[in-house]
Amino acid sequence: MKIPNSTVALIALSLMLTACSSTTTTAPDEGEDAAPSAVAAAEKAALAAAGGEELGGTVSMLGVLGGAELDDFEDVIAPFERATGVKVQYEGSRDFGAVLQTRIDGGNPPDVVATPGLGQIADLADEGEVIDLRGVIGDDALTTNFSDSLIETGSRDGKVFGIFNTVDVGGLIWYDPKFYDGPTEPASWDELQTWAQSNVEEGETPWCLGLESGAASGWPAADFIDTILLRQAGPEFHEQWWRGEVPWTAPEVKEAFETYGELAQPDKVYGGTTTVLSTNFAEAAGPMFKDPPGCYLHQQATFMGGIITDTNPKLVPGEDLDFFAAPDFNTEFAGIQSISGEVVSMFVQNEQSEALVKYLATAEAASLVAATGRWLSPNKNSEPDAYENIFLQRASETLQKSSGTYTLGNSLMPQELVEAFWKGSLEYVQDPSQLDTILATLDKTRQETY
Amino acid sequence: MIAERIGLVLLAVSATVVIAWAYLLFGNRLISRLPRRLNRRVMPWLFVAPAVFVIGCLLVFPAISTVVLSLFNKDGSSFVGMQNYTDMLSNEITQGALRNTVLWVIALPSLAALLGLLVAVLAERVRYGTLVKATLFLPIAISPVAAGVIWTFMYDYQPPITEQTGTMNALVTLVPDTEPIAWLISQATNNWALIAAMLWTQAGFAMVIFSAALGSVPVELHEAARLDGASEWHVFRRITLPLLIPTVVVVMTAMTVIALKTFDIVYVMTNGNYGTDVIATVMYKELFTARDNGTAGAVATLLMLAVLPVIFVNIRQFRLENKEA
Amino acid sequence: MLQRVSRSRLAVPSIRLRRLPVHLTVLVIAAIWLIPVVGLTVSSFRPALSVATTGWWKSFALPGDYTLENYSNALDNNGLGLSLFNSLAATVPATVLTVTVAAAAAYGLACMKFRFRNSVLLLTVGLLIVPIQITLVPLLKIFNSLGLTGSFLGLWLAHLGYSLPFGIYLLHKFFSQLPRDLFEAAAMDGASATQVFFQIVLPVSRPALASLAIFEFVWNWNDLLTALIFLGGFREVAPMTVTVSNMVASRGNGWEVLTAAAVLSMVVPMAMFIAMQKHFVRGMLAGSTTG
Repeated sequence: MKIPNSTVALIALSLMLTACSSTTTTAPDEGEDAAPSAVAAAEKAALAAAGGEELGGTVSMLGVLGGAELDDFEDVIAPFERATGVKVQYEGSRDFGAVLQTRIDGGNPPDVVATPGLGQIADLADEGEVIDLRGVIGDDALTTNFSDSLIETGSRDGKVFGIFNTVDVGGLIWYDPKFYDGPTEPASWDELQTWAQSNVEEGETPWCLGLESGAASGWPAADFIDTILLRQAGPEFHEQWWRGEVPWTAPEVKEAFETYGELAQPDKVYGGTTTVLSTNFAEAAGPMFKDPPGCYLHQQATFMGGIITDTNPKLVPGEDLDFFAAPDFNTEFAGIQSISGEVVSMFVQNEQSEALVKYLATAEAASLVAATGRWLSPNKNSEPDAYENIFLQRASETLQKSSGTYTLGNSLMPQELVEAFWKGSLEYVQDPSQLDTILATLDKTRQETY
Repeated sequence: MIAERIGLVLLAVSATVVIAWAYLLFGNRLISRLPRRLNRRVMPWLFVAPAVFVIGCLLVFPAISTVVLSLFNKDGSSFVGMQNYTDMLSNEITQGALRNTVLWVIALPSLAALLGLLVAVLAERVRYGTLVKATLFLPIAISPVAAGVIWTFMYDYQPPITEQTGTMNALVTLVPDTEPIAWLISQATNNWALIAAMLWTQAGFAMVIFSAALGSVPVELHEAARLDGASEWHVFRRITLPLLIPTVVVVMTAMTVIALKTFDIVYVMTNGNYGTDVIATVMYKELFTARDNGTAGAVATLLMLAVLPVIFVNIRQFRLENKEA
Repeated sequence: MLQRVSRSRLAVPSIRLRRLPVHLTVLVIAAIWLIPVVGLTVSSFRPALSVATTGWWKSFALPGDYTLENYSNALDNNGLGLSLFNSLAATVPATVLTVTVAAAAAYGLACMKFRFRNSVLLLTVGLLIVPIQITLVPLLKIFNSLGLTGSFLGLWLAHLGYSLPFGIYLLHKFFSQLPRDLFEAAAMDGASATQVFFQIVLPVSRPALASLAIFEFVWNWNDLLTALIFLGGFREVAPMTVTVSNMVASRGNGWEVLTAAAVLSMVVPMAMFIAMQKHFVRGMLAGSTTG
C-alpha cells in the first residue's frame, strides 16, 4: 500500500517536534536562578504548608501568564511540587476573565487563580464565590508576611479574597543614560516638564509613548493617569475614586487627565499622536536607543526593564537603560508610590489548594519570586539586596523610601469600568478637547457598574 | 502520553465508524420489519434522529434560554421585559456596531463568493491549479487569532520620518510624497482593513465549496455547447452558472452567517476601538466584562433574528428543489 | 437522457490565446494571498529587534539577519510535541463524528420524504447563527452534571454540536442535487435505505464529504475557546492553540515566538488539504448509470 506523502510529512513533523521538545514542566532557565539554599528552604516551607506530609494529588490553577513569565512562575512553584508531591496544573489564558466567569457559572471553577485584575475577584467575593484566606493562612502568617495596606487591598468586608504574589512598581520613568541630558532626580513634575519643553524647542520629541496592546489598548495611559491621580489628589480621594464614590467629572480627575496630557501632546511624543496610538507598548521605547534618539523618556512600570532587554539583549542595564521614579506632582503627597501586582485567590478548598496558598504566602516562596529577576516580592520582609536584578533592586529601594504605597485603582475597579477607562484614555490622547465628554461617559459607566 | 493520544484517536475513529455502520444497518433491518406505512414514516428518522437529538440538546436549549434571559435583568433576578432591548438600541456604541455589522454583511459575502468562484473556475484551467487553490486555502489553516496578529503586523504604522515595518504602508510609501496610513485607527479605513483581513481568511472557504460543486457539473453539457460554437464566457454564463445557483445560495448563507458572527479578527486587532465594534464584540463585552446576562441575551437574540432574511431565501430555494424532485 | 462519459479531468479547450488573462488573474490573486504568509514566515526567522525596526522584505538585503531562536524557543520545553497529539486527539474524532452524523442526517433530509422535513432543515439553517459564547455556560452545566468536562469525549460532543448545522446544511445541498435515476435504479434492485446510503450516496459525494471534512478539521484544529472551556488548558491535554497562545506573555509581548509557532501549526491542516485534493476530481458520476 502506497503511503500518501501527507502521512509521511505528518510523521516526520511529529517526530521532529517530539524530539526537539520536552514535555516536562521545569524549564532550563535563561534568566536568573535562585540560590540552591533558597530553593531548599522553599521546599521545607512547602512541606510545612502541607502539614508535614506528601499530599500528592493535583491543584488546578488558572492565570494569565505566558511565555518567559510562565517559566519564571514555574520556578517558584517547582519546590512546592517536589516537596509535597502535589501537581500544579497551571492554565494560562489571556481570555482569563471569560474563562473564569464561565467555569464558575458552569459549575467547575478552578481551585486557585492568580490574576492582576483584583476587581473581578473582589466582585466574585461579594457574590460569595471566593474562599476567605484569613481562615486558610491565619492572621499571624498574614501580618508577619504582608503589610497592612496589601492585606487591606486584597480584602472585602474584612474577608481576605486575595494575597499578593508579585508586585510591580508603577510610575517609573525610563531613560537611556547615554543620550538623556535632563534631570535624573527631578524635584517635581514641573521641573521635568520644563526640560521637556526645552527639548521641544530644540526641535525634538522628549517622550516615547505607545498605547496599543490588542484588546487592552490604552492601559499604559490609564495606569499613569491613575498614578498621577493618586499622587496629585492624595490617597483618600484616590480610594473614593476607585470605589466609585466620587464622579469621574470631579475636578481632581480632570486635572489628572490634563497632567497626563502635558506628556501626551502631539509635539511632545515621538511620531505624533497617530504613532502613539498605533505603537505597541512593548516597542514604544525602541526609538530611545537609536542614534540619534527619537525620544528620551518612557513612562512605564518595573516590568518594562525586562521587556526592553528581552527585545534588545545588547543593552546593559545601568549603562544603556535606567529609570528614576516619577517626581512628585503635589508637595502635599510627596513620596507616594503606586504599585500593581497579581493576587492569588482560592475558589475550591481542599488539602492541595490550601497547601499551595499557604506556601505562596511564605517568605521562602517570596524569595524565589524575587530571585526570578522579573517581579518584586510582596513580602514585607524582603530586602533590596535579595534582588540580583539591578532594576528590581532600585525599585525595591524606591518602595522602601516611599512614604506610602497604594495599589493602582484600575486593578480594583469592576472590569467593565476598567475597560471603559482604557478606551477613554485612548480617546483623550486622540483628541484632548473631548475630555469633558469622555469623563461624562465614564461617569455614566461608573453609575451603571457600582 | 503520546501513545495514549494516538490510541485514543484510533479507538474513537473506529468506534464511530463501527457504531454508525451497525446502527444504520440494524436500525434499517428493524424498521423494515414494520408494516409498510410505518416503515416509510419512521425510516427517515433513523438517519435524522441522532443529529436532531444533538442539536436539540446542545444548541436549541441554550438558544431558547438566551432569549428568555434577555427579558430579565443583569443576573436574572427580576423580569424587565423589553427594557434590555430599548436600552441597547438607544446606546450609541451598539448603534455604531449595528452599522458596522451591516457593512460587514454586505461586503464580506459578496467579495468572498466572487473571489472564491473566480478562483475555483479559473484554477481548473491551469495545470498548477491545485497549488493556486492551496494558496487560497492556506489562510483558513491559520487560526483566526494568528491571522489577526499577521494582519496587525501587515497594517503596522511607523511615523513618516522612519522606514515602514508594515507591508501595506511600505507599498503606500512607494508612491512618492505619500504618508503612511494608520489603517486600524483612521475611521475612514479601519473597518475596511478588518474586512480585508477577514476576506483573506474566508475566500478559500468559498472556493472550496465552489470547487466541490464544479466537480458535479457534467462535462458533456460544456462539450455540447462548445461544439455548437459557444464562447467560454457564454458556456459559463448559460450553463455552469445556473447549475451553480444552489451552491451560491449555500456560500452566501454561510458567509453571511460568518459575517454576522465575526468576532476574533475584530477582537484581536482593535477590540472594537476607533469605531470598529461589531455585534459579536458588543455581546462579548456585555457577557464577560459587564457580566450582564440580560443585555448580552438581547444582543444575541438580535443577532439570531438578523439571520431571518437568510432563512427566507433558503425557504424559497428548498421550495424550488422540492418542485424539481 | 444524456450519455455520461467517463472523464477524469475537464478537457481544456484548445484556444490557447485566451489563456493568458486566466494565468495572469490566477497568479496575481495567488501572489496577493501569499504575501502575508511569506511575511510571517520570513519574520519567524528574524530576531525580535529586526522585526520591530525593519520590514521583512529588508531582510533579504541584510546578510545573516536570520536566526533560528524563535523556533528553538517555540520548541523548547513548551510541550509542543505533546500538544500536537492533543490537537489530533481533539480534532480527528470530532471531524469523523461530525461528518458521519451530518451525512446521515443530510441523506434523510435530502433523499427521503417525511412530514417534518422542511422544518428540520429550516431549524438547521436557523441554528447556524447561534453564537458560541452564549451556549458556553448552559452547556457547561449540562456537561458538568454528566461528568464530561475535562474529557476528550466532552470536547468532541461540543464540537459536534457546534458543527452539525453547517455540516447538515452543506451536505444536504449536495445530496439533493444527486440525479434521481441513481435512486430509481437502486430501488428497482431492491436496495435498502442504508445500502443506498453506503454504496451509492457516499461514494458519489466524495467532493462534498471531503470539503466538509477539511473545514471541520481546520476549524476544530484552530479552536481555542471551546477547548479551554470543555477540556482545560493544562499541559497534559492542551491542544496546540492553547500552547501557542501561552508562548506570548500576558500583555502580548514576546510575540516573535508566535510567528514560529504559527508557521509550525499551519503544517498539519495544509497537509490535510493537499491529501484531500484527490477527492476533488471532476466527473464523479462517471459510469454510474446507463442511459
